[in-house]
Amino acid sequence: MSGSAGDAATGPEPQGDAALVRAAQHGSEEAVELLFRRHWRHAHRAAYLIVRDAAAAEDIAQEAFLAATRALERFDRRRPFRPWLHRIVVNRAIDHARARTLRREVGEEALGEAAAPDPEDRLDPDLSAALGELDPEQRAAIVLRYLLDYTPGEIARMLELPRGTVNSRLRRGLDRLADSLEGVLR
Amino acid sequence: MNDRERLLRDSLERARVPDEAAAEERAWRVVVAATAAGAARPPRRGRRRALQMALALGLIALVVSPAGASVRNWVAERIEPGAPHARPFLASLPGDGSLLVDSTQGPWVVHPDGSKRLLGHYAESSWSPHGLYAVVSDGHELAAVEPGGAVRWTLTRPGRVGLARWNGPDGFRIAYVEGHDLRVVAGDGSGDRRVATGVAPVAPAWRSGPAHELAYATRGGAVVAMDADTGRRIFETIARSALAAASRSPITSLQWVGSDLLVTRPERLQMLLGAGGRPLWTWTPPPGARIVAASAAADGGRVAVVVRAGRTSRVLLRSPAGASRVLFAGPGAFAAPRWSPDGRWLLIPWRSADQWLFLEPSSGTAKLHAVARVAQQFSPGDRAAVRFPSVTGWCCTR
Repeated sequence: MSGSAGDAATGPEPQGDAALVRAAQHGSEEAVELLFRRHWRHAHRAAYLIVRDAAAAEDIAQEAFLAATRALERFDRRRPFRPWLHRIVVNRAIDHARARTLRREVGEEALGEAAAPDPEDRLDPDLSAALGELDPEQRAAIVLRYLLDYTPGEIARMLELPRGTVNSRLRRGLDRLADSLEGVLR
Repeated sequence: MNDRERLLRDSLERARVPDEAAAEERAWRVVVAATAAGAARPPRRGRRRALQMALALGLIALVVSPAGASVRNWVAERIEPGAPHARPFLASLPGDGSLLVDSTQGPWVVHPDGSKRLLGHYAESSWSPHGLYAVVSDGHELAAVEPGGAVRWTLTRPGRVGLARWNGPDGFRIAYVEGHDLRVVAGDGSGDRRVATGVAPVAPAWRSGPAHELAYATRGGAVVAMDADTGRRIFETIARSALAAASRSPITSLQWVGSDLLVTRPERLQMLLGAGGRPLWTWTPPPGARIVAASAAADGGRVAVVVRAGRTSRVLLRSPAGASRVLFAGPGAFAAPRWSPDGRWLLIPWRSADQWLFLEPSSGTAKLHAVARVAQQFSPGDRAAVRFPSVTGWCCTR
């Protein structure tokens, strides 16, 4: 996997995720915090880019970490932590985005505002709007590939989809983002 | 990766979530709390031993608990529930302020002149600090409504929401429970977020004051006080999951009384020091009795306690000095008492009698006003047997 170094990839890592998971399983609070600090930011941003709602993204990322923390005792240390966590985040985000389209939510206007460019998100406004128009599954594939740096094969395993489906979602998603990306280039 | 893909990757990498740093700190505190709660839970074998110990301790406590003066003071019971000469309808309230009453049809606002208004088809309600709004909930929806019924805002959550409480005096925060999560939303309906997880289904309690300090009960039986804005934990009592389960004694209510916190459990009433959570005083009911509900007057000194023993219920008044006396006793069940905003009157809902009793505890004449047919008055038109309504608040002196 290309993105195995975790979110804090810019500096040297004294301990890999596996060592931190082992330490956390033995009760080290410091290890839990290191895992959290290392992975929170990307998990949070991934959820935000999929659901386009800051409060929901915070919930989703929190729930993913809570689920991960609770399951840490039973976690198989031979498995990499990062894709396990991201799988939880992305699946929850997709579920949330799907449910929101099905549910009549009061404050639809607020959701519309959330989908609109936010001055803090530093994303090109056109690209942000174009991302908002993709369906949640396409956004998830785009986020996993281009934010979290997973290969199409890894994404297929994480989402339990045929690789062809992942490739197709990525291709269609990129095509739909093409105009706004051209705008960013200009 | 082609140019377009590289551009997309760079653009996504630059994306920031609004309020990102604060969200990270909030999440970390929630994770810490959840980890601590998990660590506090003893392993299975240990839990069984704790359960056995708790049962043994419970038996010892039952044997050594003094019956106390309050037992001697208990008055003789009537055979049938209900005060004689009760008025057939609520003509007016004896004190200032308006009641908020949850009924089968929804929450009602009852004005001092006895007139009342249905707020809508909501399951639960609670007053804002000055009675200008009520926060109501039903199913997945939380809403702020005016006493006239106009809806100011609503919020829909994926899980079932309830037990909402508005902070005071600024009214800038509302805490509510969604599943096992404690969440806080601003008074205008914005900024909804989770502040804790693993909470028990007990209404959270705001400490009155400029700081947004909140107390809640955990599923393990502990009490936590925290700053709802920063997530800073002010205190946490020791979680005793096995002990709580063994004694079948979950926390039933929390109420700040000045700077201290009144914690009600069926087998004991405790005032915890707000500074560190240590018990300031503890009161236990006589053997065979259990505490149904407790409510402190706004002045903070007096606490009305409803105790049930067998088929009889009693309302005790605990004074600031610690002495308790019986205010009223009768057959059947009483619900949670409510103080009038000025602390002069006490409303005792007598469920078994379908009556409300208004008592004036400080009066030497032991004034008592009784109102009958309460359930029917809050479910007009319903021919089927209706649920006895629940008084959720009496607010406010203007």
